[in-house]
Amino acid sequence: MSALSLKGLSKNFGPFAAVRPTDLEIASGEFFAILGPSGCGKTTLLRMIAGYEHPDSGKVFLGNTDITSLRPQERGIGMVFQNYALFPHMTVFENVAFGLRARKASAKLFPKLSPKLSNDAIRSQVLAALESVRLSEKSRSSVPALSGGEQQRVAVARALVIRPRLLLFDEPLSNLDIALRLQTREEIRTLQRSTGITTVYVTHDQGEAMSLADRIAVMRAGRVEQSGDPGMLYNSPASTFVAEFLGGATLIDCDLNGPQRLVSWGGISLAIPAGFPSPEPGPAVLAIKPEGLSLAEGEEGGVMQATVRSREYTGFTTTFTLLAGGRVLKALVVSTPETGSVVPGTSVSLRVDWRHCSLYAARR
Amino acid sequence: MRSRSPATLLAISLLVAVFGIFVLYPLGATVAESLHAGGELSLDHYRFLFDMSNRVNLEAVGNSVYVSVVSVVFSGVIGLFLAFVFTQCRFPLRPLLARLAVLPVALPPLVGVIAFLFVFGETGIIPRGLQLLFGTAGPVLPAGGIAGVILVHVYSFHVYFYLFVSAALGTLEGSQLEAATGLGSGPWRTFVRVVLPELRPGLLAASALTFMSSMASFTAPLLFAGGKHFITLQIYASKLNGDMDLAAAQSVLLTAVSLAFYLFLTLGPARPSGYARKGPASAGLITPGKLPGRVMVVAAFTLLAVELLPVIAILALSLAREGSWTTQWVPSAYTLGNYTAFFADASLLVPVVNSLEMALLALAASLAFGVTAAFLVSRTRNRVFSTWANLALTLPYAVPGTVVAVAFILAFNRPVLPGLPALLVGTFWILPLAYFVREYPVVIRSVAASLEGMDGSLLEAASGLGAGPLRRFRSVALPALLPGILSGGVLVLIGSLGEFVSSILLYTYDSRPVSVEILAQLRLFNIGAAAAYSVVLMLIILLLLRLSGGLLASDRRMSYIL
Repeated sequence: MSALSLKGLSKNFGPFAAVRPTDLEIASGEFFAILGPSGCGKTTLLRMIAGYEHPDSGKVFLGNTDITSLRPQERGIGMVFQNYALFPHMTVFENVAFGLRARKASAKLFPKLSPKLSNDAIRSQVLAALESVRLSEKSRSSVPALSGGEQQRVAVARALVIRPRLLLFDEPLSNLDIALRLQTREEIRTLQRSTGITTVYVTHDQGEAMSLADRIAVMRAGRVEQSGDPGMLYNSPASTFVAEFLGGATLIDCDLNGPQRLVSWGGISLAIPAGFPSPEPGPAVLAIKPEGLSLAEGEEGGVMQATVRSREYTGFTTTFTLLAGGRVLKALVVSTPETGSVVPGTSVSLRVDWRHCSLYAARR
Repeated sequence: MRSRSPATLLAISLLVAVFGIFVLYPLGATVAESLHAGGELSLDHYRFLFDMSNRVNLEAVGNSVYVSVVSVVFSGVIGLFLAFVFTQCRFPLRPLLARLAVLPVALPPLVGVIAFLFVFGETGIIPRGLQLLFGTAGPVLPAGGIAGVILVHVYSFHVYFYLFVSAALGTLEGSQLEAATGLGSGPWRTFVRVVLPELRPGLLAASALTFMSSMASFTAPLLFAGGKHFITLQIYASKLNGDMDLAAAQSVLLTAVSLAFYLFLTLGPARPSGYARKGPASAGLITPGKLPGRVMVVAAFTLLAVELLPVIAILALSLAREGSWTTQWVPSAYTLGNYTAFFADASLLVPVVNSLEMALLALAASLAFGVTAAFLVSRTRNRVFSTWANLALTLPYAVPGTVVAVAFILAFNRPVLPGLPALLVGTFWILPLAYFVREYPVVIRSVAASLEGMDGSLLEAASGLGAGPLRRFRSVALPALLPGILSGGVLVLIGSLGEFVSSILLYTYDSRPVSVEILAQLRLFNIGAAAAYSVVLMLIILLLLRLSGGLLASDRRMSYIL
């Protein structure tokens, strides 16, 4: 049984279809990422799960329960907001205790619905939650006095402490600097593993989604283009969009010659290896990830000729921007003394690793 | 649309009921009354207003409009000038002086006008002092008539321009001016192309506000006009003559003009408030070291002195022995008697206690109504609806005090609903209610300003954590809105404590407010007593401003609320 199922969920804002009818099944304990560029509908989808947006059609199931018409406070879902949405006038402790205290208050009114909580129980749960995000010493601090990373961790503790049936993240790392982002990413993953709470994580950063998630849904223009585990998405992108967005592939309009199994553009022809999945012959799109191209030794060692336009050296790797058959390509290679001597304007010969390529029928 | 919670529904129904009974019903009753003559629908009263053979009413409208236009121009020039000097120029004591510059806005209208009268009026200190100095036959340059009214208006209303312009200049980044200069633009070009566009919305808003306030002005014409007709005085006269139909028609006319300007003010140009400044504020358009800069600073100091003179005068006059200021240029004898009398005879404090009591009632009602209304309106997603709902809710802001009083008389001299016994007119309750209606919009505006600055995801986060609407309001929204509630509340107290315009038409002797008492003492030529009451009122207001933590120091906050 799925922990969360979305059935035909959709939302329009006026004439704009933010989310087109969408189905998703998320398993219990799973870390699920929704990945897409800004404006693709991923945040709207998340907000419908949390109950902040009411869908135009479709249903949300938490386990077997239809929660579509429940208000956010009745759903028991934890959410970490992009800007953290910490209450600025409360201390760290009060922020984290907020959800438990709200439950305690409603337990007075509806003793059957909510468990009774003593003040001591609240205190120990809050401290445990702060402990889990390494903020025990900061429990009396005021929120504005915290650094961005600490605020982010308070937001996580506040969402976790209510023992949510589902944990939602809305781009939680986008306000942090790069080093902190990598560190926090790891912490979130560890925390999710240890608590086992089913998690939905919205991001536009494919690296974040790949490193965190058990499964990813790639969204575009209100639709899920493809979902699956990171390896599957990376190795067999179902569309040019997924290849480009997730793999950083260069897309090349080309002709696919059926009988000889050749792709060609601008005077370049490449032979397709046997067994490589390819569409019907005719106009096609070849997607090549940067790591699928490498420089051959000597000028004739590869399968196509290209001219180096620029070189971007980042230490361990070097990215070349190249011109081949009138198209701009990217090649990502491990830096060597040889790559350091290749200057813009040099003619090089390129090898193609077909494991990093995919072919699609051209859109008409 | 999902169903709303019972608490929300209850709050909405209460709001609608209060708004209907105390705002819509009195205004509706006024319009209805103005359209009836002899028990039948008729336009007779309006025909009378525009009757060419009896030009009193037309003249009154003409005078009101003329005075308002001239007040806008002069208030604008002086307010703009002071704002520039006080924000762009560095000199000693600047923060203190800048705060003093907004003083007139905190003066109750009656106190401001009589203080002005004491200094610049026909028998005022300056004209008589000059008379003595030059040995002329009469007082030199006494303020009176139309010019006197304009002077009083400029005295009070130039602060609007000051506040709006300083707020706009506060959002102007210093680096913007540096960039302009770096691109080769001279000071004049920078002013016209970079500074002025930033000021335009603020100038328009201040103009509309000044025009509205001048049209609604009652106290200044009452004490200065000297036989000239003004629309507010005509309403007052009609009421005193018992001609409520005519008073209603005049009120409708005045309100229509005021409302048009209010619509412009609210729906028109955006206020200079939402722009988040990142760099340091600009300061240094004017260099005080150079000659023009020095002249400007001196001129600004002179204006500030003129602004403070009435306040100083009223402090001094509160120490005058009664009867010692008749033909002298300043009183000849001084005493603490005007103050010690308060301790000797507790009944003298009755008006002060009345005003405090009624202001606190108005405060409680305004906060309850205003905070709830602002919060509920802000929760709707529909932008168009929330704009119009806010506009409707703050409608009394555009209704002159004289009109509120007329509307209350017309509406509440009979039971509100058949079967209900309460006749509110002639009871203690009529004044706190009138204060409430006049003052609550400022709470809505002030809280709405805070709400705009509040992060909406805070409430979402709270509901996601299991908090219901009441808890969300109490533990998340209320603390975030506290600064707005506080400044709105202080403005309600200040407005109610010194309220005069509605009070003079509605008060009963037992519940007479301090403003009415001041006028009564003035009419008895008890200058010292009138001044002493004014000083007590000013001290209370000063105390409130201190408690509110420098409300007037924040130009941006004030310019948004007003």
